Amino acid sequence: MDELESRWNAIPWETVCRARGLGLACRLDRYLEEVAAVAPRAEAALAGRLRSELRDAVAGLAAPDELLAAVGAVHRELAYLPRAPLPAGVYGLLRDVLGQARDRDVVVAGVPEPVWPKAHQRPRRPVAVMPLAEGRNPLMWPLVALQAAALAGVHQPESYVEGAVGGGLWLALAEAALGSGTEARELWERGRGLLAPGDGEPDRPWQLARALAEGVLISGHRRGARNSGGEGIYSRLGQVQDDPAHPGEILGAGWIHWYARVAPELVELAEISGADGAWRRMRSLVDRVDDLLCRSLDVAAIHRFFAAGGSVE
Amino acid sequence: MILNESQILERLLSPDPARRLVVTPLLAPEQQFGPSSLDVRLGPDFKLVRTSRLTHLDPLKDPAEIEADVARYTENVVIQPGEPFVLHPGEFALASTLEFIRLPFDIAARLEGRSTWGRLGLEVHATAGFVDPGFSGALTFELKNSGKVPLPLYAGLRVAQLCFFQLSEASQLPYAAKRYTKYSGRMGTEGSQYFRDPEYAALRAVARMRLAGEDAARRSPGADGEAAP
Repeated sequence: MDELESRWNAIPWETVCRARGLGLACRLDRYLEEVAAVAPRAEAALAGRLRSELRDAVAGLAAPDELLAAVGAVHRELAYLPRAPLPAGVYGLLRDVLGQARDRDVVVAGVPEPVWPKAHQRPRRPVAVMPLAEGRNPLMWPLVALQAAALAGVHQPESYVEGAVGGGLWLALAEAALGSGTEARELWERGRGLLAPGDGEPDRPWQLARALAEGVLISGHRRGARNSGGEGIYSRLGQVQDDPAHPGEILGAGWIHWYARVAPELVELAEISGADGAWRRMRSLVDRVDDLLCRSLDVAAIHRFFAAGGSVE
Repeated sequence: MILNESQILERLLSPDPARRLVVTPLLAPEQQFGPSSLDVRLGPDFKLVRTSRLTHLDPLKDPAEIEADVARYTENVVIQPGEPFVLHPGEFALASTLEFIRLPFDIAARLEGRSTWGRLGLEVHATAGFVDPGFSGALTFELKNSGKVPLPLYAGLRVAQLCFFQLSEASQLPYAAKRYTKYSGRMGTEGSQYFRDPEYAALRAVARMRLAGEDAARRSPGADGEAAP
């Protein structure tokens, strides 16, 4: 068992809960920063004030539920600010899950309400919603796919989306349920069980998670990396090939990285968040993993497009 | 020393992290490798400047204000697989490599256009084609269509190439360790952070003093042609 697996196995539930609130606070702060940059003066000032309230909430070292509630209250204020566009990767994931024919039938909307719809709630109109601050968090995007699958009339949408994105769906559902019920722990164990490392060859999400820890894009898997045999250059080049990663593998790696590396570090930093630079480091930690995952999904989609000879299904 | 194709490949596959050159993903190595270069592809995100409300860029404003100005005047475009981004004649846009690139501390690189695209008038960088040892992230393209016809560009097209240079010894000041870096680790297309250059701090201080002096002169008796009592 290597260090990553040890960390994955050892994460306390308390850390999971606290990191959820801290992660959301960081993402909301980034959203507010970006909105303030393009907003008129009054809205920019409101965004600045909300950012300061967020930092106070994090520095207050409240219990996980209280922190989530405080961050949620700030999130609701987004109703008074201009909207930032959602990343294109959300639509890319929908296309991957539903297929090109159906991905454009659903409106995806960011909303100021910080709570995700319950999994069993079928939307009444063709609109899948997501809390605005989660827009840059691909780990939660399976919940948009779940709503879209229900809207598309898919039988047993949860099984369907799990088939497309893997155990990450249950971890996203667990995180969404934190602070609003007791089912979160059960969902979390289910997701963790599906992502647990196998006994044989390292699973692909685990391989990708190791690359993610090194800060490297995880849009694909390299074949032939250890095999440079052969005489001619084309023979050697022919043995090297990157295969595009599946969105479920990228998201699985993201969850492994989140629980094994990011969540414990966030909680540690939050304890000194009053200190100079700690909040900035928390933001940078979350920004970095979000950016890597978003870009990995985007690049993998382009890679798959060419690998399939132009098919986007 | 410029690396040849075998040396580039050996670095890409090196099990030693200190020697390893990271260029990922490699969609088609057989097409991408040249005798002393590696083709790189166009990523899906672009930045354009909306000039209709922009009189000029004032580097002497407060950096936060400049950043807000730049954000207000920049249009971000992200294209889906198979969807074109059309660069019209004379138009300038920022874009980035599809590939994530990480250079070891003993390798520098240079970004160059491909003649295939040069013949159509596409320039991939205006001036900044050099990549320092230790750089990590996506490289920026400064795209300009110098031709006469609009060019539809698609994510994944091989629009440029990288040449790699081996240093006689590893840098002690790789890009990632520099105190004043602005673009390390960036994943997509990033606009200029020119206003963060430390020289502007001195220039801003002088500009503030000049403004304060002018303000004081305006307020002093006799300003604006008023006769002193």
